[in-house]
Amino acid sequence: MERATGSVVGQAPPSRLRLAARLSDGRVRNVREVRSALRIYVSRETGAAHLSLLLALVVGAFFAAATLVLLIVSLATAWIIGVGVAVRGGTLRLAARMAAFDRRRLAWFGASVESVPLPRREPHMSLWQSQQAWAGASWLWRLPAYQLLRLPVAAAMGFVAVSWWWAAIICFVLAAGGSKPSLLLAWQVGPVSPGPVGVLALVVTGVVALLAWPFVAVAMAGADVLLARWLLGPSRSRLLAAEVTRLGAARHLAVESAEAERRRIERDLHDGLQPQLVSLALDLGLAKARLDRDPEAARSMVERAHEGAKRATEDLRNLVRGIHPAVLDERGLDAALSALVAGCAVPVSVDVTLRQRPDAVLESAAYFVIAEAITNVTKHSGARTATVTVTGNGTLLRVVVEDDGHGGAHLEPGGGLAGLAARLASVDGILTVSSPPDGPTRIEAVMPCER
Amino acid sequence: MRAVIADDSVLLREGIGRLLAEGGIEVVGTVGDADSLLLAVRDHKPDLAIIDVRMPPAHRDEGLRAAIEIRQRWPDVALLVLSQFVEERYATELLSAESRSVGYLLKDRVADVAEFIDAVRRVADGGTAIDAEVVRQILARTRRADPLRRLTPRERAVLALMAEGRSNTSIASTLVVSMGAVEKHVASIFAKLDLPADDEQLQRRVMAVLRYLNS
Repeated sequence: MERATGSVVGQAPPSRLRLAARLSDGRVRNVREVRSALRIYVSRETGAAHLSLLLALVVGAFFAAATLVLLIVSLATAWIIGVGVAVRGGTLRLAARMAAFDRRRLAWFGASVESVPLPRREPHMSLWQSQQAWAGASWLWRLPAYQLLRLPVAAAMGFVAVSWWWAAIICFVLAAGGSKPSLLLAWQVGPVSPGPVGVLALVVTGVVALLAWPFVAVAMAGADVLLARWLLGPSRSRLLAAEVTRLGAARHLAVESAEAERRRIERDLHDGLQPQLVSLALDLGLAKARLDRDPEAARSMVERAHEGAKRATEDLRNLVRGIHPAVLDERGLDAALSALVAGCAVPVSVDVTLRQRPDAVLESAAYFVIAEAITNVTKHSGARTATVTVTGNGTLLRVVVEDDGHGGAHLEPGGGLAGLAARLASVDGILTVSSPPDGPTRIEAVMPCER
Repeated sequence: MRAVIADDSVLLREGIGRLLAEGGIEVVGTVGDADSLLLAVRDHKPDLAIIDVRMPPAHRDEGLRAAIEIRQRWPDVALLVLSQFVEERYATELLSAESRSVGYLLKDRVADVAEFIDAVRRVADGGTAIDAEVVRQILARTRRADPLRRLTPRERAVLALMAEGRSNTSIASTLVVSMGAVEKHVASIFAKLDLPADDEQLQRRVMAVLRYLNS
């Protein structure tokens, strides 16, 4: 299976949508947490939240201590040429390891925290160069910062947890008439003998506190996640920068595909139509020259020219349709596919299910994916049948062209499929080509409808 | 006269073949790409090669390069280069060596049978045939705009036809004037542009005019 872009193919919405989702994810999660309030007492999530917080506290202590030591050593050795780089790189490497542990801990709790990009060791880099790359990765200083900040946060949460339970227990103890609980806080309350109302109040408070506890635990786990997203994940500006890079690349591809398209049209006109018209003019010229002295020969030349003119108009029609079929604008994808499929030597079944008409740009992109795929089916696949499936649910437009041919199609630079991938990239779409050596071939394009 | 035709469109190869047959020129070979053209010229030693500029595999200027190579290896073969677009720059490259037996015409010109055959014969006889469109481009770009402005409209028309490689006879019939009138115009042009006196040799005259316009 070959992919036109590095993104996960299929269900994953293309990157721009993912960005929006990521930026608003925190809020969405919280809403969901409230909604699932009643299930909170039995959910695995609550248990995981407790374990996660406990781990955050226990492991966090070790991590924070280690980070502190590493930072101090880094600072202390920063001035020593060579050693400074080695220690700094090592510190950040370890911080990245710790961050990976925390991401796993949170993933286990059900929260995904995106990884920051780490320096990669390219094949040509020596160990030292790789260490330098790590030492210079200034954006990674967020990771040790997380460890240092997380410990007090986790400690505060632990304190809240202990106090909460303790308060609840004391409520029950006092309500039961226990005068001098042997431990801690009750001293301040002193020996009490609450009346019936007091007992009721204490019991209610205790019960409410116990019932409320899972919410507190999950809320604290949520805060833990937010902290991790803030410091362990890529910063917002970094996300945006990555998006800008991606958009730049997509724009370049779009320009390139438009350019390739223009060249294709020029080639089609030059190689297809122009010689026909020249030949037509030539035949008529010959006929004209012979009209007087050899009318019979002139007649046959006029007949030839007539045939040529009809062929030329037919080719022109196909060419114009190939540039942009008017029916696509007027009646949509389903209508435009009829003629396309009719021109295919292999029988093709078409199934178009659209909840609403997609944007014209998407329709056009989808049309050309299908046109190119059908051309390939006719020319190269050796298939006996092919199917075209178009589905649109308002969020994604999906086009699948399958045939039962011998396969072997691939995305080669400058090829038709690569041109399609570029064209799709300009609408944030993804092209997937699956064509094993013995077939069948499956070409799938997925485009987001929101733009 | 024997000719070889190189064009990747079968339709046009056949059409041009019929056209040459009409003019009494024998077609000894038709080919679809530059490599086969060189082989055909080597094997058939034709008097004339009619060559499309754009041919497989790259569909760029293969024909033009082949023409230049033919001129170097077999200088006796007359060359008529056809193209669906004429470019002044290609013409200049083609003529840079010499203008003897060289033609560069828009492919559309095949529609005018008599004129096309006339151009073919002119080239085969050692003359020059430059497309009017090329001459127009050269005239538009020339830095000699000021001296050219001294010419009368009729003289400018004569100059353009001279640049195409036409003989005085041909110019006279095209403009529907007498030979004497053409000769008078030509003399006047040479005088106004400070060109060395009109050469008897037609292709030397073309080169003189083109060099003047191009420099």
